[in-house]
Amino acid sequence: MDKLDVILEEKFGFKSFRPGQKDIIQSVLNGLDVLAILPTGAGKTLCYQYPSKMISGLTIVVSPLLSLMEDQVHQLRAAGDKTVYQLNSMLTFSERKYVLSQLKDDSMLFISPEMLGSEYIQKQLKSHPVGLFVVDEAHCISQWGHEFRTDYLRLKEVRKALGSPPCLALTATATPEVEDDIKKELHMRSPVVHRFSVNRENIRLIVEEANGVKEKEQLFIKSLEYIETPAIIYTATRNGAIEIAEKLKEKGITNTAYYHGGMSKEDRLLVQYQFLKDELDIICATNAFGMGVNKSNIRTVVHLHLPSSAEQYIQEIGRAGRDGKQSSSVLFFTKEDRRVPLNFIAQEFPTENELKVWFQSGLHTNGRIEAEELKQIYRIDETRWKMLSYYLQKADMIDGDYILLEKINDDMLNRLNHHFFGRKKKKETRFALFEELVLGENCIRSAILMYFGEEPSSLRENCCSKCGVKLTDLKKGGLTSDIDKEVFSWDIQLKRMFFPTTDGGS
Amino acid sequence: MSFIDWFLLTILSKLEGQRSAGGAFHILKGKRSAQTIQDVHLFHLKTYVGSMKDLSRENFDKKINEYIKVGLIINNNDHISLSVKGTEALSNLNKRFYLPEGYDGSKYEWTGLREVFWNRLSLIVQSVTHLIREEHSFIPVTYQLETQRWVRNFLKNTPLSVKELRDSLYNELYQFLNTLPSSRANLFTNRLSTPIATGRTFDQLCVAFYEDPLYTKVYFNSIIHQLLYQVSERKKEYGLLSKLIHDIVSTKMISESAKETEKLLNKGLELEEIMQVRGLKRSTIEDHFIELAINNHEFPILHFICKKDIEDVLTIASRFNTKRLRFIKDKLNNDISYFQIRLALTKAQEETSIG
Repeated sequence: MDKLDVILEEKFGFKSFRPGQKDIIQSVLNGLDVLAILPTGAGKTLCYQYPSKMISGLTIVVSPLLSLMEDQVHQLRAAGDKTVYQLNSMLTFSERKYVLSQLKDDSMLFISPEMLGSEYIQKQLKSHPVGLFVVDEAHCISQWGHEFRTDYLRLKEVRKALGSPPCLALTATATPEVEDDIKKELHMRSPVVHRFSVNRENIRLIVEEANGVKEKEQLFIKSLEYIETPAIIYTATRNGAIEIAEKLKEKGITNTAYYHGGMSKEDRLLVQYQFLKDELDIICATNAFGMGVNKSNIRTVVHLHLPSSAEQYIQEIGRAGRDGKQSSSVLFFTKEDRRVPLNFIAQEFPTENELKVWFQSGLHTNGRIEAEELKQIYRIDETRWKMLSYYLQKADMIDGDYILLEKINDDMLNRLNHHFFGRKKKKETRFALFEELVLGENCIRSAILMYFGEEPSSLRENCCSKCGVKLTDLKKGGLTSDIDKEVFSWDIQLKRMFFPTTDGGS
Repeated sequence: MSFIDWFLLTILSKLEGQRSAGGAFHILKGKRSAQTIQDVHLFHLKTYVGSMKDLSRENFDKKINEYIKVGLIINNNDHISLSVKGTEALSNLNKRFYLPEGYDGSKYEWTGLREVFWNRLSLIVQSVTHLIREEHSFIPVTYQLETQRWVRNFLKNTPLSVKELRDSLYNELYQFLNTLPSSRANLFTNRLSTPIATGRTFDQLCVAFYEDPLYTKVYFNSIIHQLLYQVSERKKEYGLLSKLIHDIVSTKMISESAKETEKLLNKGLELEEIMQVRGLKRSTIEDHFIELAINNHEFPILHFICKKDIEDVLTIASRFNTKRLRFIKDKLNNDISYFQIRLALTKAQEETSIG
């Protein structure tokens, strides 16, 4: 046991590091720029929480997803770390001011890239020395990552403005191409790369093709005989999640709920806690569920649709088996399912016609239009709008709140169009690769590993459906029913809540 | 059709074909504008206002278009009214849905009081039930930092021990729930998150409420409204719970900006002077006056419109059963302004509500 281990036990209460953590932490403590590619569930948070306690200066953690950030911050604070704060768009102005006033040199601040772009915030942050600049889910930085966010492209400037502190970028899924992009976009100086295999040997990979949507559903319902719980069922749409939860209830599986981004915040949290505390066996969800959910005993992840890439698939199935025990992922699909991800990709980019109408319809004769107005007139959605504004700004087509329509000519539109077309093609190719891997005859695990630039897998047992694993091999278990639970009336419930019985009855 | 349809059609019906869909939307959301405040008073919508704060404009428009398509409502010159078919549909829905006893949108939803109170209460219950078991680490049931901070300070500053807190909380909740029918009391306890069980969502609790999550939610909110009413009426008996709102009970429905205008008015400044001092448009100051006239019976209305004009406006409004400004102005045929008509109409509300 060396010094790092001693501190681990004293400060964090862990007996030992998980694979990869120690090397990454050591590199960060050495003051180097570090890129860490760690599989989901490997304990990424410790990789920056640990150094943040050891180095002098503020630790800034850029986190891409609001719900993920909130989950992380509340989990860390609940575990007793009160030096953790967050800044994001959900906070009111006075709350932001409060957070900024509370920051100390040893604080850890989670912040959204958008918020970090604000000059006011940057000015405030400059009153603290920044000791470490962390970028979580760093694949978002790459335009080939699965969730291109233009605000991420400005991070390198922010980092510079904050005195170029050492940088730690973390991700679970990065092809060699994405890896290069991250290093470049963050201006990392001869970074140390710690790459660990995306392979999760304790998760079986099963894909089942069905003939049509009806058969797919039948196959899934039948599989409930084998599926071990707790389980997540991913659907492509919100309605899909609701319908599947309904179906399960009809089949007598009552300890289930659905979860999607359209629900109220309060209800989403309740469902998440119920699942965390094993009060639910199955949760039916869209991809809005899962990122910040720290549940180690998920036994099965089911997809009832085709994810749009191997990256997305790996991220989602990686929520199973974090405790290291044997777990499974099951993907049910039909040939028609391909339309959903392909439509989704198409909708991400403006078409040639749209660009023409938006910028060359001649509605505005004085050569400029307020950006907000244009957005309103054509009802351009937020995501595409942000992406578009980024490129317009880069091409000097924006002056304050105004878009300089006079400067936008055919040549410019052609270039934009060409660019978007290329990006779209790339995403379609990534989907095609994933589809191939699902449809093909070869080992899925090896195909995924090679996709991420790794050696093929040597796993012999419990590998994947192409290697002979069948649905019927799975171990059923864990399904309970509401009916078994006692239902108490309000007065008994209230009493049980406030007056724990000493004999362990509560 | 579900509760949301009942609620929307009810609002549209009460607006008597005299407002646009947008006007109805602002009432559902509880917009703090002079127009909405006036509409709420004119059309007797106090119990309803601000009850659908989560409704997006997109979903609202979808509903409105759907109603037009199937012929439940008619859009006439941007004024929405119910068709015969719509009126029938509403009277059918009336057999099923209603606002539960004690529900008061303007007092508890519009002001945000229910939300703040429930957030604090649910977090305190979660905290106390954990602390009593000596569990000091749990993930809070609300992510609202303001609520968390408030509750943390409350627990830190209270002179009561955890056991005493527990006893007061239990006794006060028991006392209140004991006055309710058990189905409602069950709905309340099922929403609480404690070490024994996590709170249930409205989807999970809607079985007893026509399987309608939104209806279940409104039903639940009505319970909180009742509790809030009890707490404010009987502060002594609800010593602990009343502390959860003592810093917010004074929320009045007058906007900050209107209060500013009121101060200047009380100093004796004229409308034009207030415009200058505040650097605001005439229409904005007029909106403030309307707000003040509705909320304050001592507002010097006669300073802006003479008694006879008020009577004329009210006569036309009641004879033709209308609150449309343009119509009233055309009938009066003199140089009365829209602002004066709106001022006069604030009196219409008072008289009908008294008589």
